[in-house]
Amino acid sequence: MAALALGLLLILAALGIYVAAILGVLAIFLGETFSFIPLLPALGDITWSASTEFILVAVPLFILMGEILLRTGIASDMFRALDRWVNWIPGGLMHTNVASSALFAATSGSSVATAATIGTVSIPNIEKHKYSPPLFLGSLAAGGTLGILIPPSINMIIYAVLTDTSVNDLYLAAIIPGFLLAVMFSLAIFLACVVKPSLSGTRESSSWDERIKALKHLLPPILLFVVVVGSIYAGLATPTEAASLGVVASVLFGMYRKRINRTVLLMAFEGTMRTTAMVTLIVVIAFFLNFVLQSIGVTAFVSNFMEGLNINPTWAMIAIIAFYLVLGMFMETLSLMIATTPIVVPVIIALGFDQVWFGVLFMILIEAALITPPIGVNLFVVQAVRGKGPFRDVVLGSLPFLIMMIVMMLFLLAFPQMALWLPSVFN
Amino acid sequence: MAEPTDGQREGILERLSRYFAWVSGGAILFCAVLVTLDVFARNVFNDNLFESFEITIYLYAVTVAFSFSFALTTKTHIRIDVIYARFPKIGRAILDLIALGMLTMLSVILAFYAWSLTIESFGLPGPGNWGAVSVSDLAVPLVLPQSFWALGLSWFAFVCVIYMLRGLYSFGRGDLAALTALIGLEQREGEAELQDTLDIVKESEPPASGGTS
Repeated sequence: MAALALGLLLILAALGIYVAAILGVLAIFLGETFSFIPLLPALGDITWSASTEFILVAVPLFILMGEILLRTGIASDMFRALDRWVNWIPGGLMHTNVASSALFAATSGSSVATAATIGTVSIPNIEKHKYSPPLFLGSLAAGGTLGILIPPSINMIIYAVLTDTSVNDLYLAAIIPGFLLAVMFSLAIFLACVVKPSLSGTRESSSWDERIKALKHLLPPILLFVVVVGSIYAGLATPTEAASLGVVASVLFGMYRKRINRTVLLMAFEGTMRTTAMVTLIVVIAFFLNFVLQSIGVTAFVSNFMEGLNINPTWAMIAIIAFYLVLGMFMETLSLMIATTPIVVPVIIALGFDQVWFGVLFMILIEAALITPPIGVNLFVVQAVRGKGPFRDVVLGSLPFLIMMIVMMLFLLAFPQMALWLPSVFN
Repeated sequence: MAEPTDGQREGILERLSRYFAWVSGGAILFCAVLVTLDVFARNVFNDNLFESFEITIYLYAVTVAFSFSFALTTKTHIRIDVIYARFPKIGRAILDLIALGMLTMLSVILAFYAWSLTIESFGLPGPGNWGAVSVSDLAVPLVLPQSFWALGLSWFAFVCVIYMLRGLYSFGRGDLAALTALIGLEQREGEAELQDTLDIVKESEPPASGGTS
């Protein structure tokens, strides 16, 4: 029965019905069918309290910050500056791709914008420096996903709100795995280039003078990262407040660069509200669905069922990871995350896992969904920026990075402390 | 260049939705400034000066409610095309109508219960004649933010209904192209954002140098 309902939902989703509408109709249907008291009248109350959740305001703020940064040209300057520092390593520019994606993603939060921005600056170098296209393109597609894991991540805020987890804990938990994953991406490039030197293009090296000069372009993103993430860690600001600081700081950077004007602001406002409206509608409806699922006892049933099964938690977790890897191949990631959280997280807790720890693992699963064919947004983005050549190149080139993501998840499974150590130190 | 970039002729609904998005974005920026000032005030003077917390949550609720329609007119609300894309034109047109029909239903229900909550707040006992107030120094009568919020949701429902009627009209006339232009799922997810980003990067790039050297 449950499987039938789930199947029906997936088919409706694949048929192009608005995801928010599917979740809403499902919630109303379940509430009307299985509840003794009418649940629909609570809709107003629940959507109002979800819409006035202070932590959710961080979503438009971070999007606005990213929009402003994008329109002020910080990303391309940063890319060139980073290149001076890492171009001597085997794999040269590909490390720059990963490093600047990590840094830019950490400040902008959008994987599409990251992959597109860094890709546009970087891709012309494939031919210029004779890189092997697949690995190079893969480093762009995979690098762009790092923003989901490295704080301040918007996806993590949504996960936190839906599961009643502390965003601070999540941000603390994600930072070591986040940067480690970036290092592992670089390691994959390094190893590939050592084994097969033809993958790497012509390298150059920069003088220390050039490197020092380049530092000033690295300053804005690093400063922003320190302001936003540092103020949260230092206990000076909540995530929403930190996002506000980030918006103000990025506007100041933009003004310093004389790139803030009426048009830039209006376009940034449009982009911000478009994305925010899209995200918030689904989140608000998911809140109601969550309420219905709890009211009619589905959540408790699932937890009890899992506890009754008496299965090995590790194997269950591996099954969940496999489930998401497969679903992630086909489903849009935001809907995937929001639609499955209300059911999966109680299961995780029933299995004895920590929801902060799972939040980190979940983000890596979502990153993987962005680079697995046939539906992987970052693959499309990188291919679109490249504008020629077979799509297969991007898919193949992303494979080593996908393997690194899986390795990272196994690490997390074996050593949960990688994620949980920092939050335990701070609390 | 603050003109529409979506390549469609912009009717009154689309234009109004865009204006709402501008005002909403401006309000979010205003919130950011207010919250920033409060963070400084709290860490320096140990005091909250601007009640930014409460103003921000109400502005968020209202601005987002007014922006739902913009996400509809710019086709940003998420739809997945795995099976959809395999249908012939006529099948996709029917799916578009079903999808919009379901969204319209949801939007009307949302607006209805938003108003019902607002009326309920108004009916609750409070210090003044304005019903329930928020538990804070500001003591905002909840009717105030809630009615703007309900108004925003009503605007979304209104745009949905009009789009539904327009869609049905185009379908009835057999004008599938118009239907697709209005509510079709033509682009892949992320494509609008990608196009935006590319435009920006192209603009901000100095024309002479293409990449690193």
